[in-house]
Amino acid sequence: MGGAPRPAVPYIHVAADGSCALAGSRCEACGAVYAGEREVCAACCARGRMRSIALATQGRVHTFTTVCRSFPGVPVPFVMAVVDLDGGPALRGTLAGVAPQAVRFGMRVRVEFRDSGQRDADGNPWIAFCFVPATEDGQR
Amino acid sequence: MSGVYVIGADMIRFDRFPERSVPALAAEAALLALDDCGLGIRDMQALWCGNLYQASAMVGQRLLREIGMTGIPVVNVANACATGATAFREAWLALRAGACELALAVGVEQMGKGMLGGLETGGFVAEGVIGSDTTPAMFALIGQEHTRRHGTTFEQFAKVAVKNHHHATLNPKAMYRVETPLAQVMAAEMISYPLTKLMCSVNVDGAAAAVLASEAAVKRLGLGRRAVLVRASAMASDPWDPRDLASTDFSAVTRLAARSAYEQAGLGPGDLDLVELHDCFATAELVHYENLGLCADGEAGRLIDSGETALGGCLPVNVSGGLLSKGHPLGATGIANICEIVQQLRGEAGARQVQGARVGLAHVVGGGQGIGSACAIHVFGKA
Repeated sequence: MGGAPRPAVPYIHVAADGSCALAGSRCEACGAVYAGEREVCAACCARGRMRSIALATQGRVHTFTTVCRSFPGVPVPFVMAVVDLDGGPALRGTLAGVAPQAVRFGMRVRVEFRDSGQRDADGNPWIAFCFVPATEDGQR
Repeated sequence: MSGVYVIGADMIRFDRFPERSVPALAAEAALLALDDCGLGIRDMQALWCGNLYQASAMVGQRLLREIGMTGIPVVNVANACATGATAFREAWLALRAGACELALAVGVEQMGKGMLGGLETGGFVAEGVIGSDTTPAMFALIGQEHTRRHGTTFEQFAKVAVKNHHHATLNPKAMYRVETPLAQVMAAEMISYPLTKLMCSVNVDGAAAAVLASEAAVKRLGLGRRAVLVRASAMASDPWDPRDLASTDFSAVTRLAARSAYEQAGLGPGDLDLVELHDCFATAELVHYENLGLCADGEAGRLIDSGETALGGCLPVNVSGGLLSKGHPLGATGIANICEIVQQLRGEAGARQVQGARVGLAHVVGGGQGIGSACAIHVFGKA
């Protein structure tokens, strides 16, 4: 892929070796979990109590829709899902690798990191993620 | 504490007016509302002007350049689709505080066709790669969640569009005035399941205005006969919810505002004679039945099936045609909903009159994917 991979969203962490993870934070005061880094807890308003954690890359579909019309130029249809990651939080993303009519509430999915195919102005790839179906134990 | 009243309320016919300016649309609505109570812009002591797409361009001042530069304080208001209701509420607050006795609240919007928003430019384009930021997709997720919890069907959501399009045939100021049978709604182009094109609100141009008066001013001017009392004005922003950051929620925010509104008004959902609620998409109407307490949680599908929320039922909802068919000019919507309630409580709603209407509720939400939500609820009663 050429160039240094760049995270497409702030909560994707790309390591020096190119491996990816979901970065999150947990409030030590109330236990709320967030995607990405933050200073103040939106749930309990505690300051200085956020701790960085790695988020799970497995979870379950909470709700989903098949997007049949999007902004002009965007390929459709695709499935969008809100997934409850194991241990939190919920994330919105594209659910790939499954026919829309086969998607079920509560179905097990895992996070897969992918080159989005898009490049920044310097030719570096934007690294995104999507959800893909997984078995109950989290394996494909 | 003395009450605040609406003494004038009116709106322009919602349509597309590409040749007209935003201040011109606002001016027409303002003059209609002033005419409705026989007052003039010289009588107004302050103006709150709601507009979203020109939020940084002093639409309120430009409105006064059209109808009279009297030097009154002007506040330009933006709060997503809750913009108009927020402008109204700010005027109400000022009257409650005794800062003025007569105020004008205007909401106006000029919109293009097609879906709200657009693709990001100059960086990573997330649309399609990491879900969708489109508004119909956001409200599709909300409908699907209702289906997950309560088994609500595609057909039940579609019935909302059938009902509201029917209501609009009775409203000369509605954008679309055509019947849409259930089969037609369900067979229309799928936008985001379960929302077909006929289950999405219409982007139109529009403006609406209301004249608010203190009790003392109503008495002094002798305008009590057609005055409508503001029994409650409540607002909320989205409270913490673990999934709200993943996809914006409009339910908790509505429940917060509703609780406050019913408490202020000293009544409950059972006391309402009609409701204008934020049916930006057909799924929204059903979830808001429950959020506003019009039925128990899980009963919204059965409520639309029963026909009781149609004109002639025991609690008509969106008899104006709603956002789905009357149209949804973002900044104007909140005040247009209020105009409908005022007209109904005065018994002046013509063919779509809810017989014996004494108490009505107007609800709007605003927000978007990744930016949060707002809710404004007003309860009105016959004076």
